[in-house]
Amino acid sequence: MERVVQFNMKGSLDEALKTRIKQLIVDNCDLDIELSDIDDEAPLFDRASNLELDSIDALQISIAIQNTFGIAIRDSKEMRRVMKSINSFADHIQPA
Amino acid sequence: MMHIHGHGSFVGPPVADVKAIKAEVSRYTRIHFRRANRFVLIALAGACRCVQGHDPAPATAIYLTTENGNLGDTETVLNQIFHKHEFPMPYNFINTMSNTASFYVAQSLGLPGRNVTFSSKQLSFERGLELAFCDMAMGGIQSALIGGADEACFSRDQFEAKFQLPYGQYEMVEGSSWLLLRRTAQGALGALRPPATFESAAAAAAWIGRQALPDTVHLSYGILPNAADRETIGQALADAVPMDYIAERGYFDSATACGVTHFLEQGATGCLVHVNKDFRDQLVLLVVEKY
Repeated sequence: MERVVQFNMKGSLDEALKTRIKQLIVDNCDLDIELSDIDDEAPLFDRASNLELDSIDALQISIAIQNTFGIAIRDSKEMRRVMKSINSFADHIQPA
Repeated sequence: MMHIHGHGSFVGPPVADVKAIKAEVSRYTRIHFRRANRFVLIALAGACRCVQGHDPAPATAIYLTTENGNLGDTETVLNQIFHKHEFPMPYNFINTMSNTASFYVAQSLGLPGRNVTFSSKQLSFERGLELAFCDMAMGGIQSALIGGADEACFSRDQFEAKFQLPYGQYEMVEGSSWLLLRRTAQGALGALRPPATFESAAAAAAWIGRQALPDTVHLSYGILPNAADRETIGQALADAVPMDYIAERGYFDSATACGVTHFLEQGATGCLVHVNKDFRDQLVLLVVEKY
């Protein structure tokens, strides 16, 4: 398991971390999309989102995050907050 | 009697890349099956080939028969839980559900009717057929899409030990073979008689003697009938033309379906008598007529 070294940089400002999160989502959900097409601020689970993710994908991503970064998402409320966008995801993994 | 209106098969090597199977499926459907695993894709590839150009009625029932089901993902999930001590990945876990593959087949072909996944060891396809015959006789269905699908065993050693085969006799493959069956004979290319089950090869041979069969009979066997079974049944069908589809196509569990589609794909006329057996020594004969 890979642990994130805590820097002072907030996750949403860390381009490398955000790219890793995008890659993790694309790989685990088998998405046919370029990483550059995923907007950092756009809602991940919005109906208008180009990712077309649903609740099963949310579970898939949360387990992948836990296995990769050792960070557990405890409940659905937290899941909704963390998985709002790539930026919120990154901030959860790497707080300031 | 059920009439065969379509058939299709997908058989590939066990090492085939999942992406290649996905590409094959995408030739027939625009749906992107991103959560589908190897077993699901194998089932889909054969089913799509079978119904191509046939436009099955929405009420067509689906019978997916399989000896092992979602073998690969079941192994993955058990490994995640007991070896890695991790939560199983949701996609893997969902795919271990026995009816996932038949759900995907129904979704891709737009068939919201009856949908069954059925397993009965080496006789899964035959027992699934019995169920379809029963449903059709009771008037529950007018048409059925029935297939046998299985992934390859994990290793050649395991495969050969299981069936006590000499090394290298048969190639291990994986795949699915499907038949589109209807009650009506109009436009059919063949027919299936209900499977017949026997406790011994002698009883099976006696039954064959009472059947009205065409002049040309092809005879094929599953993997378990032994030399004595073949000798006894071979005497009852002395003029039969042998058809060793396992040698030609390779072996996957639920291969009877492959045997039937292999016969239908050949230019041969007449009928096929297929003999299969399970480890409980139950013999099942299947007669397939070609129009």
